[in-house]
Order: sequence, then C-alpha cells, then structure tokens
Amino acid sequence: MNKEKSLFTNVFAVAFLIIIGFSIYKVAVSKDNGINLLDKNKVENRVAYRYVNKNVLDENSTYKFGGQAEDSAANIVTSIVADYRLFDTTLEVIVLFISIMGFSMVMPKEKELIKPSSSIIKHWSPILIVFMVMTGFYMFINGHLSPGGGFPAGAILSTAVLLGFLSKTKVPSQKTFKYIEALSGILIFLMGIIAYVINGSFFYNFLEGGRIGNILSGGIIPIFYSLVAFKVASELSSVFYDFYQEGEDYELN
Amino acid sequence: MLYAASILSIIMVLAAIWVVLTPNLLQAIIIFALVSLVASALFLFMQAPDVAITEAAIGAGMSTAIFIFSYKRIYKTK
Amino acid sequence: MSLTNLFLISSASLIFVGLYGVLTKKNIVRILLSLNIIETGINLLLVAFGYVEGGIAPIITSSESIANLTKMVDPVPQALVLTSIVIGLGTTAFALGLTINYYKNLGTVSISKEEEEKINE
Repeated sequence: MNKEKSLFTNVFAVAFLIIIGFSIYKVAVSKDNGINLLDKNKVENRVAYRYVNKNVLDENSTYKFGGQAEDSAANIVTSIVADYRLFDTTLEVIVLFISIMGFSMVMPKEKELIKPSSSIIKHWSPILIVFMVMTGFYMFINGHLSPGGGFPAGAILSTAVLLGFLSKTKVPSQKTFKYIEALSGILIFLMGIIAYVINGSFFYNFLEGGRIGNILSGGIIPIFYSLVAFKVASELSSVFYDFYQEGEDYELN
Repeated sequence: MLYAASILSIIMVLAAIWVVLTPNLLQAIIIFALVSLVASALFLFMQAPDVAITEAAIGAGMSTAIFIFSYKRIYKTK
Repeated sequence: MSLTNLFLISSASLIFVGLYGVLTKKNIVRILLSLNIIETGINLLLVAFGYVEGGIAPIITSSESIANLTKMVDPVPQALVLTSIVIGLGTTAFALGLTINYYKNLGTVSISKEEEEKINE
C-alpha cells in the first residue's frame, strides 16, 4: 500500500513539472505581441524609463488642484502605497498576519486575572475611549487627503481597546476580533479578483477617480484603507487577550 | 532649525546609550519609550508627517505596552 | 554642517549603539530592546536618504503646491518605511512570546549557563 502510494505521487509530480516547463518554454519563444523573454531588452522598453521621463511641469500640462489626474489622491505617499505598489502592501499585510498567528500559538495557556484599577482610570475611561475611536475613524476615512492612512488608524483603535480592557468596561471578546480579522482579509483578496474579472489585471483601480481634493476621489483607495485599518486593529487587539484572562470579577491579593 | 534638530539628536543618542548601560530593566523599558518619541519628532523635521504619526502611535504606545506586559509575566514576584 | 549630514550621522550612531547592546548583553529581554533600537535607527536612515535641502512635505493642499512640485522630498522611501514599522512590532511580539515560553521551561532568562540573572528593583 505504501509503495503504490509513493509511486503514484512521484509520477504525478513529474507530470505536473513537465506541464509547467512546457508553458514557460512556449511563453519564452513565442512571436506574438509584447516583449520576448529571450530578447536583448532595450532601455526604452522598461517601465522605469517611461516614469522617469514623464513631465508635468511644461506649458501644456493640465495638472492642477481640482482637476483630473492619472492617480487623483492628494496625498502622494498614499497613492504610492495604495495604488502604484499595492502588491507590496498586500504581502506585508500577510507577513503581519503570520507573525501574530505564531504569537498566539507560542504563548503558554495559563493566565491570571487583572488586578483592579485605580479610580481615575475607572471614571475617565469611557470618555477617553469615545475620543480615541473618533480619531481612529477620522484617520482612515481621510487617508488620501491628509497625513495618516490605514496603519496608524489601526494602532490607535487597538490602543482604545487596551484602555477598555484595563479598566473593565465592556469590550468585545477575542472570538469577535478573530472573525473581523478573517473577514477583512478575505475582502481584500476578493477586491483584487473583482478587479481582475473587470479589467484584466490583478488589483487594477477600476472605479473612476474624481477630482483632486474631493473626499470621493482616488478610486478604490478609501475602500482598501478601511479594510487594512480593521485588519490591523483586530490583530493588535487580540494580542492582549493572550496575556491576561478576561473575566467579570477579580480577586484581591 | 539646525540648532533644534541637533539638540534633539543629542538627546536621542544619549538616551539610547542609557538604555544599553543601565542595570535596572524596568528603567530601560521606560527610557526606550523616550527614544521612540524623539525619533518621531525627528521624522517631522525630515518633512515626513505620515511616518511620524505611525512611529508615535506604534513605538511609544504599543511596543512599550507589550514589553511591560511580558516583564510582569516573567518577574512576577516583585 | 548641513541638515542632511546631521540626520545621517545621528541615525548611524543609533545603529552602532544598538549593535553594541546586542553583542555584549546576556539577558534576553535586554537583547530584544537593543534590536528594537537598531530597527528605529534603520528606519530613520531610510527616510534621511530621501531628504532634499529646503524641501516641503509631499502633500498637495492648494494650487501653489503644484507650482512647487520640484521642491518636494522623495516620497518612495516614506512609503516603504510606513509598513516596515508595523512589521517590526509584529516580530517583537513574536520574540517576546518565545521568551515567555523559554522562561517557563528552563526557569531563567539568561543565555549563559554559569550565572543567573540578579533581579534588581
């Protein structure tokens, strides 16, 4: 039984590799439109050359505030992170997900309860939590108009959860945070696949960009930043539940 | 502008030397939050407001909190 | 000295201070603290490479920002450092989880076998 199974696996693996090698060979030597893999590539065909020689400052350019543009977000760093290099940002979100998952697996499972907090935290924490959540929501909604974005918004939201956790106000349990994180991750990749179905390349900006300076500008950039903010906030919040045990009452010692 | 940036840089490097050389571990963790705060101010001098907000929220907030939680978990009788 | 040279020298000296801490200390939590100082120094160095003398922040706020487009600082290193800071936090959390497990199994947080760590207050 073991010998039959390993023979089948070996034959299947060799056939799979032969199919992939054949496809790469066909792409390398075909003579259709585009650039061949085995050509001596000219400098004028590279993407970097085209971007370096682009000029928006001559007389007949129409780049102005309140007009249309190639990528119409007013914050240039946002348009690099969330439109020109969206692939790198998605893979970094995957790296963060794997490291937090490893942290949950490695921590030992015996936990203590939190000691009771002082009266200053107990009385002022509901007001402070409201202000912190409002700041976090403002920061990812206006990510393409002013400094900020999805990543610091996630950190600020998780600090609000930490304050609620230390002062025993009602915060969602760990299971809720895991569900929110999984849902945001699935929606990020679903957005990439929808862009592939509509227009032919993965993570293409398929909504129309408005005018520079409006709040509804930049295509899919506000949607993407909201998903990233929720994912980062729920990941960093579920770290605290592995240190201390949640519960209603506490013991005095 | 040059004087303000140079005073902040000297404070940051001296605080980093203090973190490495002190024998008290709880003191080292709290001075590390000071290093992160001054680095966030230096990011603002380099005209990078996005990076300054991110470094202030994560370096001085979350990282110090996780270090103190694990310190209390390890040295639990004191 | 100019402002660019000041930023480069201060970031490089932060990296060297952290490197000294990683090489000579014996407590695992202190080694992780020095590793975090090295990461802060590297992020400062990356953003300092894109600084232009007399530059302004790369955000378009009104019509006169379009007239000053050549004086903006480089936005590509800032975009790379933005995600690098968040991932540094993730790896620090993972390393601290491993340290707590190490303490539970062996009873000490020191990497040398002869001496135990004296707990100061």
